[in-house]
Order: sequence, then C-alpha cells, then structure tokens
Amino acid sequence: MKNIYIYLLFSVAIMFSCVEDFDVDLNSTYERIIIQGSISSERKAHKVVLSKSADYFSNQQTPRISGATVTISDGTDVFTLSEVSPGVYETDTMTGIPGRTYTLNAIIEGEDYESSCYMNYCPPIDSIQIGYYDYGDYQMEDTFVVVLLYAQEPETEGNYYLWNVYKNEVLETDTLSEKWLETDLFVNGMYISGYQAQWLVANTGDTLTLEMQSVVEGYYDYFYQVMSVTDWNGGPLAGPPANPKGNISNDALGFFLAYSLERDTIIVPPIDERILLEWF
Amino acid sequence: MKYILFGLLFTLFACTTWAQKKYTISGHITNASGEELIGATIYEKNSKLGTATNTYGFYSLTLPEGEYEIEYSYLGMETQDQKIKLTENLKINIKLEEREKVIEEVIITAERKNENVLKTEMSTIKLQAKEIKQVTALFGEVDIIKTLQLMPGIQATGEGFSGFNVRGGSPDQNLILFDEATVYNASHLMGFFSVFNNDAVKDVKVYKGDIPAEFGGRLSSLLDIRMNEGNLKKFEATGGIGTISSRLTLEGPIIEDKWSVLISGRRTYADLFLLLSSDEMINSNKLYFYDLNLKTNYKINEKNRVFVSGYFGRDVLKYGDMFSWDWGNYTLTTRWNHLFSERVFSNFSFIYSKYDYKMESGDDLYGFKWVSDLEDLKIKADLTYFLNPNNTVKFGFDGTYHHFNPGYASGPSGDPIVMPESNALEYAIYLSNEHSLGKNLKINYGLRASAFQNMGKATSYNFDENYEKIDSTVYDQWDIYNTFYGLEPRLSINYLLNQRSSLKASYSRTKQYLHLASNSTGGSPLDVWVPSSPNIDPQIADQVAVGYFRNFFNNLFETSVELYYKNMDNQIDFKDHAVLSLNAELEGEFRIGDAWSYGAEFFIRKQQGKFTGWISYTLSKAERKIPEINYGKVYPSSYDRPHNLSIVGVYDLTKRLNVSATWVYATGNPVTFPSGKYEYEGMAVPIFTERNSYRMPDYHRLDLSLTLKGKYKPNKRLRSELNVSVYNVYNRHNAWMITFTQDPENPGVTKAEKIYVFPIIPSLTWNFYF
Repeated sequence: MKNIYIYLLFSVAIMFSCVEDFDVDLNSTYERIIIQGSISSERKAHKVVLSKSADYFSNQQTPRISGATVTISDGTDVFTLSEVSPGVYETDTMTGIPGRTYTLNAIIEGEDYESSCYMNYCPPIDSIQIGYYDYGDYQMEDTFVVVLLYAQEPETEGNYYLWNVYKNEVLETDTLSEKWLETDLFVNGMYISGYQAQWLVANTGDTLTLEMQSVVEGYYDYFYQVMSVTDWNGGPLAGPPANPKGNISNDALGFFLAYSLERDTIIVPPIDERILLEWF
Repeated sequence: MKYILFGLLFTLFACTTWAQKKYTISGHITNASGEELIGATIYEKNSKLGTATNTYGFYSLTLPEGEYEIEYSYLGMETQDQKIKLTENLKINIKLEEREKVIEEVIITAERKNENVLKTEMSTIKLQAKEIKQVTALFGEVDIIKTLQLMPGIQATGEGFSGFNVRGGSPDQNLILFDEATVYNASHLMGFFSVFNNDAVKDVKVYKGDIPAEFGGRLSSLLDIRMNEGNLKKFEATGGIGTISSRLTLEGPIIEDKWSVLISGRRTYADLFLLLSSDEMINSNKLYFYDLNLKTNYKINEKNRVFVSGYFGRDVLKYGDMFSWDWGNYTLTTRWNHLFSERVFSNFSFIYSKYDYKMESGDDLYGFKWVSDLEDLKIKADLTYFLNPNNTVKFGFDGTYHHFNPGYASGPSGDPIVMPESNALEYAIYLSNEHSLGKNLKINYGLRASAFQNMGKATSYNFDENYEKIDSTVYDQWDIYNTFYGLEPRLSINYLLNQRSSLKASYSRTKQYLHLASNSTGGSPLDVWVPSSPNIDPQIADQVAVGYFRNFFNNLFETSVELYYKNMDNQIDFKDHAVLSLNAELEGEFRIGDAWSYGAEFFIRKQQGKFTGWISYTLSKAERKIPEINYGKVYPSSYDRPHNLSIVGVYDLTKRLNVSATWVYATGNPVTFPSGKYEYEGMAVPIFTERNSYRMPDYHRLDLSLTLKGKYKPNKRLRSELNVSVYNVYNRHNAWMITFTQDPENPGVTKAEKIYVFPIIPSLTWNFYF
C-alpha cells in the first residue's frame, strides 16, 4: 500500500519532469518458464498460457510453449487441458467451486511445474451505478464514467477483490494494469456504498458489466509487485526493483489463480441520471 | 582501556600541581553584533601556543606568569593583537570586526591561518553561512546540505536530493544536529530541499570520520549545525524573496549585550499561484513547506548563560478536503553554559525532538487516517577542562529516552492497523584529551562508552531462521528487556612536519542503535526509524584514515589528501518487496550483512581574497555483502560513485558585483536493470538478476550565479542585493531515473526511458538587510 503513496509523491516529483528515450545495452539471462493461468467459478473453458522469457529488448512476442501436458485438479477430479493454439491450453467447459484448492500441473520438456491456489468465496453485488465528475466547461455529453459498487463485505478478514469492466460485452480491462485490486483491510464487514470500482470512457446507452473477482492475497501482492516494476515504478523514491513473486514451483514465473466472481450489468444513463461525484 | 585513560589523566593532573605559577586568560570572542564565533583562534606569538574558541565562543588559555602578545583571529575578520602582563587570571572578551573583502588581496599578512594543518582533527569540513550563500543553488534556494555535497567524501543521494552519503555510508548513518537536537528527516518536498534555513544558521561542521568522543549514535558522520544567536547590539532584519520561497529573519536585543532573540521563517509559495485559478478543483490544492526557527540567548552574568532554541518545520500536501498529508520535525533545545572556573567550561542541555507524519483522506464515512511519530527526550552534560596549553580534557554524559510510534492507521471499518509502540534508552559517558607532546606531535584520544536498552511497553516479535514470525512477547511499561553496550575508542594524531604541513592519522569506532527502515536511495517521508532490538544488532563501524595537509602561499591555499578505509558490521538491507510501513512484523523484513568502503579525497581550497573557492575530488568504492541479497555475492552499494569532482569558484568583480560558478561531475549511481522479460496479462514484466550491476549515466552540471549588491550609502539602513542564478547552464539532461516501459497495446515492444527533473533553471532572488 505504501507503494501508492510513494507513487503519489513521485508523481509530484515528476510534475516538472521530462522524458526521453534512453539507449542501454542489457545483459541476457537464462530462459524461464512462464505460466499464466486461472480457473474461476464461471462455467467456461478455463485457460492456461505457457511461454518463455526473452531478452528485454527482443522486441517481439515472447516464445509460446507447445506440446506440454497441462492438468488442473481440485483434489478429487483431474481436468486435462488441450492446446487450442500455440502455447494456449484450455479445459473443457466446466465450473470451479469456491472453497476448493486447485492444483495446476504442467509437464514442459520433461520438467514438472506445479502451483496451487485456493478459490475464495465472492460476496454478491447488490447493485452498480454510474457516476461522473463535473468538468465544468470541459464537460462533454459522453465522457469518462465511474462504475460504483454497492455490496456487503463479509465478516471474514483477509478478502481481496479484483474488478474488471466490460463495455458492450467486450473486456475493457484486458491488461493487468487496467484492473483494479483492493483489500478489505480497512472496510472489513462493512456495507460498501458507491465504491469507485472501475473508470472508463463510455457513451450513454453503452452496456457496462462490472465483474468482481475474489482473489487470494498472493495475487493481490503479485499485482502490486508487477505494477511496482512497471507502470508504478517509483524510481529513487522506491526500493531496488525485485522480481514479482508468483506461485509456480521449479523457478517458473507467473501466477496460477483460482477465483470466484460476481457480475452486474447496467446501461449507461444520460448524464442527468448519473450520480455526480465530488472532486473532494 | 578506560583505566589506562584515567590513569593517564591522573598523571596529567599530578604534573600540573607543582609546576610554576600559572594563570588563565579566558573569555568569549564575538563579532560586531555580539554573535559568538566558533573556532576563532587565540595565539600567543612568542611561545607559539594557542587555542580556539569552542562552540559557545569560549576560550581558555593557561600560561605561566609573564608578558605575552596575544593574537585573536577569525576568517574574514580583522585580527586583533593584545599585549598583556599575566600576573593574575584574566578575563578578556574580544569583539572582532568584519574586514572589507576587497582590500584583502592587498594585505596578505603573516597571519596564522593554518589551523587546518595544526589541529589534530581531520576528515572535517567547516562552512560559514556566508560561504554557503555564495554557491549557486537550485531555484536560488540556498541549501547547506547541497553545498556540503560539493565537498570531498560527501555525495548527494541522487539528482537534486538533499540527502547525503558520507564515505560510502547510508543516509541514515549521518547524525544531523541542529543546535544539538537530532533532526530525523532533514529534507522537504520529496527530498529536494533541506530543512535548514540558511538565514538562521551560523556555523556548519561535518565530521566524516574522527567523530569526537562527545558524539555518538551514528556510524558515518556528524553534521553539527549551529543556529544564529541573535544580534545583541541592535535590531536587524534579513530577508529575501525568491523564485519559490520567501524568508524573513528578525533579530535584536531585548536587553543590549545581555539578552537577544531571533525569529526566522521561510515558506514556499508555489501553491499560492493555484489560488489564482477560479476552478475549485485546482485552487483547493496545496503543496508547500515552511520552517520556523526561534532562539533566545540570555547572558545572566560572565559565568552563566542560557540559550533556548527551537525549530518547527512542516511539509503539506493537500488535495482539497479529500486528501491531506503533512510531515515535519520539531526540536527544542534548552542550554545552560556555566563556567566553574576560568578553566572549566560546562554546558548542560535539555533537548526535545520529534518527527511525525499524518495522512488523512476522505470523509467520515470512508475516511482513512495514518499517523506515525518518533520522540526523543535528551539530557546532556559536556565539560571541558582547559588543563594547560598542552592538554584540553573533555568529559560528560548524555542520556536519551526514545519513544517510537511507528504507525497507526484506521479506516472506515474502525479496525485499525497498529504497529506496536516501543521505548528505548540510550546513554553514554565519554572522556577525551587533546594532548600536545612536544612541539610537533599532538594526540587526541578519547573513549566513549555507550549503552542502549529496549524498554516496555512494547511487543517484541520472535522470528525463525526464515524470518517467519514464531510468536510475540509483550513487555510491561518500564520493563527493560534487552541491553546492548560497547566501547567506542576514538584516536587522532597530528604530526607537524613544519608550520605549513602535517601528517594526520585517525581511528574511530562508532555504534548506531537506531536504523531507518528505508530501502530507497532518495528516502521518503513515510520512512520510520527502528531501534536495535533482540532481532536487530547495533551497527558498528571501524574507520581508519590518514591524511597529508599542506598550505601554500602563506596559507592562502589549503590542500589536503586523505585516505580512508571503513568497515561496517550489521548493515541493514531489506528482502525483496519488503513492506516497510504499517507492518507490525517489520523486523522480519530486515536482512543483515557487512559493508565496507575506501577511498582517497583530494581538496584544494582558497578562502581569502577576491577569488575564493575549492576543488574537491574523491575516488572511492563502497560495497556490501548480505547473505540473502544478490545470491550472497558482493554488490556495489547504491551510493558507490567511484569518481566525484566538484569545482566551486567565487570571484568579486567589483565591490558590488560577484560571480560564482560550480561544476560537478560524478559517476552515475549503481542501479538494477532488467536482464530479461516475460509476458503476463498483457504486461511486459522485467526479470532482474544482479543487484546494482548497471550504472546511471555520468552526472555533470554547471551552475552560474551573479550577485549585485545595492549601492552603499552610509546613512541608509536598507541594504539589498539581487541574485540571478542559473542551474544546469548547459541544460544537461541528467537522469533522475531510468524506466523500462512497454507499448501499452503490445507487450512485445519495449524501450528504456530517461526521466530528468531539472533542465536549465534560471531563478531570481532579492535579499535585503536593515
């Protein structure tokens, strides 16, 4: 959490800063195996992507790994994933069950990689609303909107949430940096009223779907660790950069996440029916 | 060791009892406004014996009965000679007058300005507020610490930062004292400015090694800043209007020659421009800092003086009512100077200091509050016994009560995060003697015995070898649950080759019981200080240094070469992704190891004449080895900058106009860059291998400034000067940081970017006095 404040301070520091491209020769390092995968409480084909690391300036997509054997088990059943495109493996259509621990197993070039993740329960969404800020003269009829969340946060401590937003059924937040994560640390057991869960550009009449995922603490940490070495790099105000700590065995990087989710949909109303948010 | 010292002292006392009849000349040396001068020299011409005033302007010289010619001098002041007949103890208070600078070049008298050669002390730098003012400053904001960064062995922690490293030590290893009170966070506004308002500062001295036995508690250096005492003769106002801040200092006597007061303030006003905006979104934002210094000085009589000084400074960052964040230091020092006799000077201090920060956001419903503070209460007694011209004995003690409140945060749910509070006691006794053995050899030996105790009410966590918490122990109020103690010997030797040159050597051991939980180079206002505890041993440093000091052209040029080696044990670093705030189990994030540094420092300085300035060059190396970091391999410290060169020149073109130039060059700081990348959810995530295996680009910069003084009119009280300065004249884009970024749409495309903060920056400052 301190990262956010350091970043805030940092953003003040760079208010008057300038940026230019910088040439540097970087060393190489040995190839790592990367696993990006998830299983959720939604009924669908769940996806695991296997890839390899590359030189930082390789300037092409990192290599995908084909021909691996990938399975996910919930302790009783074992689901085998099949390769649908190079490096992308999917289960058959199935539903994950909250409260279970899922184990991913991948055999890549004879090496065994494993990861386990608990699927936490997700509280239901009461409703969502659309909020907006008053930009005065700069206000446009359709602009930046805020998706507000209303929900009861459960009594149990240590819940972590991730929010995605879909616009007209297309995932808007398709990279990690666009997702928003929060802990229940200061709001445990409270009724959440008008929490700003996502921000996006949308027009009146657009259909927005807010997806709330209940994720594990390790993923929340992983998100902040990735952000701290990429978009939220605090420079000299932050500590030395370090590799984000995923949950895959055998020196592989990445994360295997099990999550449960809830969704709610709203059609963006005309501006006078949106909730005016106060700047301060 | 201690017994040997005591034994030695007894011998000295014994020696003096049966010597011939001796008398003492003592007193205070001040400038025209009654301000005490620190380090003014007193020199007896025939016997070539001398001394210097202490930090309170007091001197004492004991000589056999006889006739003497005494010379009183201070840099930039007219020297005074006095013939005296010493048949009884004499009290001589001297007032030195400032010398007109321009005529100085003409009369280079055979003055004794070779203090740097004669003193045993080495690895020290002394600056006067006047000198600091002449160096070109960022935004025209005169900054003590940034001037010090131009000195050998002292480096800036980063571009534009007012944090500093001394001889490869980390920034938290510097003891920063402002009128004896510890300043825990000496920087404002992201570290770009230091908290010391130069108008309120009299004298600055840095010890880079060879720290006197009376000081302790930090490994690498002591920065001793003394506040002005206030004019005892007449009312005076000094001030300035600058590009980003304005300053005003008022001082004067309440009772002439007896009681003076000084009040000095500074505030930045960048945010005041925001008020011009009619937009509430903009004009309700705040971003500023201010400093307030207060001092009063009362001379009860010749034997007793009282000083009270305080500092209060704060940074405020505010976004309307939604979010506010402020932090700052408070210090209060009460001192009593007492002369037990002409030869025994004493000072007793009672000191309070505090650092705190507070962050608040949101309304009552979703409000969030985060506070943290650290408080010190300290008592200190320092006595100096001017035994004879060959022995000056210092002894005393200090005791500090620390209270730590590392963090408390609460949100709307009302379940706060509380980091356990704790207390500690730190105390020390010391004894030292500056001893002249014959004409050419001087030794200063001292011993400091220090102790540190953790005290309840506190919660102490116990960790296993993997730094996982096993359990915790709760201690009651006043319960002392852990004690560290140790001896810190200090030794320095000066062998005078002739009146122009000397060889010096020193050894010192220092211990540090408080540590800053910060893993960034720049530091942040959220950093908390952590006491040594059952989990964290005190840091220990041993430093040896040798130096050759030589003055040229009648002491017009001072030069020195110093070599040092410093070994530091129990050095602190942190695990990857360490959580350093609001973490009750903070100690589990610490990783302990060793560090060492060595280097050579070259220095040439000219302090008199039309042309003044210095050249400093440091060649150094600083490394660390911590088992859990960088796979246990040696890595360069984040402050390792092999080459560091500063050239500072000030030239008086006419009586009214002077120009000043500064050029600095330094190797870039070591940094960690990625060696590879991988893709995760549309992000190019870097892979890091070795710690600090790359370097930032070399740093260099030229600053120029021009000061025009108003015409001098004898019957006009107001005097003013205009200063035009240009920071980074040739607009070098010195890297503040290097980032690695990706194309937002395609993680396959990556590049490195350089962020620079200070391009060419001109600024204008108007200063006045009346």
